[in-house]
Amino acid sequence: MNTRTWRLILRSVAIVIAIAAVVDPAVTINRAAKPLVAVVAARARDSSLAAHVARSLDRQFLVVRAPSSAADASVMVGDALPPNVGTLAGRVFALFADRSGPMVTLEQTTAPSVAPSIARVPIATVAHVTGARGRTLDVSLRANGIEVDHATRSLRSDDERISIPLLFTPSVPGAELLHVRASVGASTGVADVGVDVRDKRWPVLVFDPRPSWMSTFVRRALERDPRFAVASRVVTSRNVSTAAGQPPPRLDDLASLAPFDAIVVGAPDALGDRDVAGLDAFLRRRGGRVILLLDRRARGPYERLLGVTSLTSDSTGKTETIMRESGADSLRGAELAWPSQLPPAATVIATARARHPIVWASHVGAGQVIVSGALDAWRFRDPSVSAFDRFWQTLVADAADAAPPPLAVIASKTIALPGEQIDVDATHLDASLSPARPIRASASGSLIAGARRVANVRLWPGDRIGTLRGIIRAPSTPGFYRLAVETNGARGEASLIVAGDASRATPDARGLVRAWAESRGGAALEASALASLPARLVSTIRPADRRTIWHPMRSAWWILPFAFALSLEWWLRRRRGLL
Amino acid sequence: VNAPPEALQPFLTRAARRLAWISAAEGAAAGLCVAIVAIVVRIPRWPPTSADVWLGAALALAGALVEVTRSRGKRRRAAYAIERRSPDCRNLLITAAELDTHAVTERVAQAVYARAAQLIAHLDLATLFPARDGVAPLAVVAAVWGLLLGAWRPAAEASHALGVGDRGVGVTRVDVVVTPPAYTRRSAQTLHDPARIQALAGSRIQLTVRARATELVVETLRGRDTFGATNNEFMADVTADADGYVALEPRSGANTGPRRLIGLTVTPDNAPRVRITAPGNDLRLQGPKQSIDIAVDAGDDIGLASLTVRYTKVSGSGERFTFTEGELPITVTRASAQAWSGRAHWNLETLGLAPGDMVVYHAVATDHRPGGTPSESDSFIAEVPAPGGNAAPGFDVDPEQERYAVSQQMVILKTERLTARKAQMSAEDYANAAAEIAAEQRKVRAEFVFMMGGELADAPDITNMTDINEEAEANGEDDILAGRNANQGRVALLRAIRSMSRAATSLTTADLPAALPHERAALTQLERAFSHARIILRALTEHERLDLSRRLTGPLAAASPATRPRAEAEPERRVIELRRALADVAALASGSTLDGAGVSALAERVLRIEPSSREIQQVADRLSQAATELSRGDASEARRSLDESTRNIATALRAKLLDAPARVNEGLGALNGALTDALRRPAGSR
Repeated sequence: MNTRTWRLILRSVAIVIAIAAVVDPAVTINRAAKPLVAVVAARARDSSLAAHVARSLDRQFLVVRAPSSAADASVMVGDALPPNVGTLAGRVFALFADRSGPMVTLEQTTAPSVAPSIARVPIATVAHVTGARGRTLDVSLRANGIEVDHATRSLRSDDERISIPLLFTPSVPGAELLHVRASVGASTGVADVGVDVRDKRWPVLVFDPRPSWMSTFVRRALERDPRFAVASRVVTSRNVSTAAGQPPPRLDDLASLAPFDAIVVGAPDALGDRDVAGLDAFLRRRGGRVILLLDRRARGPYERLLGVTSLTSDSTGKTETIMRESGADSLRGAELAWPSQLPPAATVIATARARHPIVWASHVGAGQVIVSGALDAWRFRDPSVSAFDRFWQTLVADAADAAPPPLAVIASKTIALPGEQIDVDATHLDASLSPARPIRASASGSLIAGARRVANVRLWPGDRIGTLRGIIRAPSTPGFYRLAVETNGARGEASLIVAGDASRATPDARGLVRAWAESRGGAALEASALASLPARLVSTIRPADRRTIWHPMRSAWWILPFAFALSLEWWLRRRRGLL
Repeated sequence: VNAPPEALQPFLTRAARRLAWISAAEGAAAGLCVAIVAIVVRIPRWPPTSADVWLGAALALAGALVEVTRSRGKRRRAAYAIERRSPDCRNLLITAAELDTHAVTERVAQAVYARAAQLIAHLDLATLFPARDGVAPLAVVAAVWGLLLGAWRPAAEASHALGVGDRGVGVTRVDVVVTPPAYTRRSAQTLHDPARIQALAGSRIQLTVRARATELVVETLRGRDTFGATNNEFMADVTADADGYVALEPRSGANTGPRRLIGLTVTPDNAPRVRITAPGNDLRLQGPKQSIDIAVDAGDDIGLASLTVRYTKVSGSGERFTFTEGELPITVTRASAQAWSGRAHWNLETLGLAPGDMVVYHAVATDHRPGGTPSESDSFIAEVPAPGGNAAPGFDVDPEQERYAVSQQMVILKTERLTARKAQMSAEDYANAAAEIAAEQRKVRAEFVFMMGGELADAPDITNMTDINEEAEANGEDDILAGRNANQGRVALLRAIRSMSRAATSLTTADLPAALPHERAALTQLERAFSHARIILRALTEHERLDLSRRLTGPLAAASPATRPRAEAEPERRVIELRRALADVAALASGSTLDGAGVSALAERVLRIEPSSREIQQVADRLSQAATELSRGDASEARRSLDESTRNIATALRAKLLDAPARVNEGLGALNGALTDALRRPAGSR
């Protein structure tokens, strides 16, 4: 070919490249692509490890730092399931945080959300400590910046879960923010818990259809306890009774029983049919607690409440200790009665030797009946051998506290971060337990700080009759708030503490995470085994061609042939003496 | 090349180094001067702490560094400094040092360097720059600084004397001399700035308080007193009589300084303890010529004064009892002032006991406490049985009851003796003695009331068992008259009790002639009752039972309902006070700055709750410590002390409280109820 031909060819090539670049043609092709891997941190504190994992996978995989439905595999980083675990796609791997050196995590800090002011509030704390054998775990409870309780435990192994009971003693009513801090060396676990301390007394009715020593001494124990407001009636003869406070004359009127949380009945064998029907209504419609104190074995209408076919008794006269199942309180008694067979779903509260259930409880509707078969426990009240007063004060307090209020308001969180979402559930007792239908109710809910209304709470009918549900956002200003709901004249409140630095207990869910990963075809690895993760991903992810759209002219390399063609064509022309 | 002599540069370097050291010493002295000023400024208010030592060291170091840095130029031109100190050099050293930077002929250079080398050989740096230039000021300033730190207190007091320290009213030192009562023969104890004083009851507590104040208020649980200063010291005396505190409040005009709270724990002088260890039980002797080996142990917390064994020989029976009292000689071994033991071999033949007689003996120990009551051991009986008096087993008379009869006879005997001595006694002494016999009569009566299975109604006040429930007794009289008490032994005992009551009433009014017949009647009834001993014993072991057959047999019209107010117990005062203290600690700690006066006042209030309680004392001590730490400016230690006191309060409070109920899941309870209802329904209807 002569020079002219070459010049034409070169010029044509340059023109074609230019035209093709302007047109920018697209081509659909199938080709192998980097697998897509989603790396998700379980909690904020796992973010740095997640970033490290992402960097280590970045060379071999296309990594995204969020759940993706298109991912070929997902990697959860941390000791818990991430909140959006359901959206993780592909094989799921888990990578646990490294646990080299002492590490303490508070897995549980629980306290009663509401507590009386004249009481000590138990704070159940579970700390998980690793890598600290032979060292000492320090746990402290602080309120208002002051340490109110402190406990230490020696650690005997490198992986230990320790329950530490702490006690908070309230001094004034009101919501209280408690800080639990556990530390081993430099490692520290922190969790906050809120308690609503209320200056209230449980209204309790003691009703004796005939004088009973057992009931008398239980009543006196309750009357000595400032947590109770005790009204009592002892029927001493026909139409003659001794009363304290304003007790109802009989037990057959639900309206007069409704103000009480619990009714203690002495000599229940002397109850009539109407009284028993009244107690049944109190249990089912009020959700109250009834404590029956048997003092002799006798038949009567009251047996309908027990739900047992027969009672066995022991009258050998040998004194036995009756131990409460939860707690260390005990009674003593020589004449005991217990059910031959416990009612369905009954709970044993206290047992004597041979594990006979002497005090037991069974549910009746929304209420609960507690029966004591310690017939002569009142004879053994010497504090050095029997905790008679303490036993009954604690038992009746537990029972009365469990009785639902007329309007129960429960917030899903007692401590919230500013802006956090909180579910509010309100249960109107009368509406939820009444058989009458339909039920009409008007409700209003608000968030109150001091005496100021901060926000309204929009309430919707809940999933059960008599329940309402709402959702609010925690205010941006930290402080103590109250969630107040009013329905049909009843008012209920729950406390809400908003704290910018609130921390919660973080249960160790390694087992759950491992099971989840394995159920998704993956595996759980320690952080120290991060180097093996790419190989595991490669072995489990099936390489697949990916159908992609290719724009060939978008490559920068085209500039080279374009420039070469133009330069060569220009050089040839100059050789020929052309311009 | 004109090279400087070899010795020149090292010489100048040594001079520069020496100058650097001197500068460093001068700088350190300047730094310490600043530290001294800082201490002096704070003298009236703050005692020096370890922080002051560190501050001084840091300032000295900083001063040295600054001065060394500042002298850098001077050291570079060391030759100038030398020339200034030694004018004889006549600029030769400076010329030699700078000659290499100038162009001069070789001849000139050689001449200069040769002269310089000669000059250096004759110069002595230690003379030119003596070390004392730096060391002397440093030593002087360091001495002043150390003196201030070590002898701050005299300086502070001097400042007060000079009127410099009037702005901080406060207690600077408390010296306490605790002088135990003279009878204890214990030496006085001296304490300095104590948080708590422990003293024996009756001790004299002398307080010598140094304070920046014109007057000092000393407050105890008993009251408060104001003292003036003598030679800048306040002297106060307190008698240790009960647990409490001593609060010192300095005042100067209208200014009141922080209170100093000192806990006061008073240890009582306990009565001696004495017991007969051998034979240690009642004896039935084989005959009247036996001997008894008696061993006695006695102890006292301070020291024993005497140990004796006394006996009463009882002969005769019934109305014919005669009593002879005496003291048994014993050999006392004094292991220490606090622990004595005694032994005696007692030949009873010397007492001339007849069958049926007995001796009652007991040991008596006293300590040195003036007016202290002698301590008596349990009494034991050695009895020579009368012929046939040894009843068969199971029919034996309770020896305790025999003793009761003896007691009643003793009451009669004492009454007779007092009646005989009436003429020699004043009316007041006579009435007092009669009242003592009345008290003894009531005690005898109370024993029988309880032996009869008597309930508290018979003795209305458990702490005052000698009171007579006349109303209850009158009711009982009706029962006797109505013949409801078929048991004659019981009737006799009840009548004896009645008679004792009447005797006690007469004795109380010092009417002994009226009391004596009742006492004798009581004894007669007791003797009758004891003849029915077997019956009595059986009757006494039975509790009174309600006669259920009589229930609901009265006229119904007379019955009426009774109503009392609703029972709402209030928390114990201690609980209320401790909760208040807890709230106050929280309020104090939640403030941005801790108030020392508030903490001190709280400590005082806490101590008032129960001054003798050990745990309350601990709380108050920790709070006082927190207040002291605050006055020293050590806020972090004060917070730690507050934490500890809070934990102590909470611990004291918890013992009185019960756990709050654990919340239950209400929804779960309702579900459980529905499940239970479903399971209870008959199978066909589910």
